[in-house]
Amino acid sequence: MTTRHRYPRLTDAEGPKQIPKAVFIEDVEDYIGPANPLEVHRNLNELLQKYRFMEEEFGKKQRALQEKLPEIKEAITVIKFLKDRRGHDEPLETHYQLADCIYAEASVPPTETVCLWLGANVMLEYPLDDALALLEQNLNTAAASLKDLGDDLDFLRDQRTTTEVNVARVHNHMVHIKAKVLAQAQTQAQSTRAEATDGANN
Amino acid sequence: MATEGGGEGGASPQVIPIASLPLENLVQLKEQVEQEIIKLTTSVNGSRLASNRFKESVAALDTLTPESRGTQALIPLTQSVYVPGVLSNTEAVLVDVGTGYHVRKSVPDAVKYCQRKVDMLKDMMAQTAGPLAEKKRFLQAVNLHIQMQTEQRRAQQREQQQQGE
Repeated sequence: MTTRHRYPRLTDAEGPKQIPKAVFIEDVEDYIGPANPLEVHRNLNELLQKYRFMEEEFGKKQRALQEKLPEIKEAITVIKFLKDRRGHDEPLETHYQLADCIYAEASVPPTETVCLWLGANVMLEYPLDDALALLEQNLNTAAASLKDLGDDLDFLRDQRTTTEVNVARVHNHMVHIKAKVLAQAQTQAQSTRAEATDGANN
Repeated sequence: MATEGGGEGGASPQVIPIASLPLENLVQLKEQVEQEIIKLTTSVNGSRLASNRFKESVAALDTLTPESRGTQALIPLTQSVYVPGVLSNTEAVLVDVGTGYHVRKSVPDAVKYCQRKVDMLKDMMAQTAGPLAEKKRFLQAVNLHIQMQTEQRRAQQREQQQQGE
């Protein structure tokens, strides 16, 4: 049995991540009740803006994570490669990015440690195995966050759509009321005119 | 009266008699010109950023001298992974010339390449500066006329209201 919600109930209990779950209006007239439809419409619109804003914020976070993921995977590949070379004696000849479009050559002797740029002007030196463990942990955290974000975005999208539908139906309801009121006024005007002419004729 | 041209970058600039346009057309014109200004400004900013990057490349190349061969440095293997290493070749570098091609050039040639790019971008920016300033002046004139016409309309409305009373 669906609970019948009445205005001012716009949202149900909070869904995951404290995103409020939008209430679906079963019957518009019943939902509005004695309240002013204009006010209901306005509040529903405000709720819609909030959902849209949240969607954008989550979208930004998702894009940032999606960019980070390949970076971490690349770093892991490189560390594994360095681990494999541990036994060898010869240095590794490589090209590195010196500037935007310039690559220069360098010679890298086999090494037990590697320096990781952690951001915020911080770089730490790690033994190879520790570096690998750290990066793999970062990868897992990032992947889990990305999945959560995806789920949240789906939930948000549903709530936003529900609210859009609610806004549209309340709007249509208001149009319907106005049309009814206008029709009533017209029929009244006609009947008063009819009475007046009747009176004049009698 | 102002009949400034709103040249569309073609050989013969259109002469638009803004003094005779009705208000709605003026507003449309204003939005169009504003969009064009935004596009030109973005292009100039992009050129400036690119130019700065090439200048930085020159500074980086200056560190590769015959004396610096064999210097120890932290070599980036990826964006966040660095290893201790040694500069092995300070005579030649690979220059990314676009579309996936890298050209091996001597360090002085690489510097000249970057310098050429900087000069080319400077020319581009100079070329855009003229039309950009012209469009801004045109926009000012259009806005002025919009203001005048809006005032005229308001004055007319006020007169009509008073007559009605």
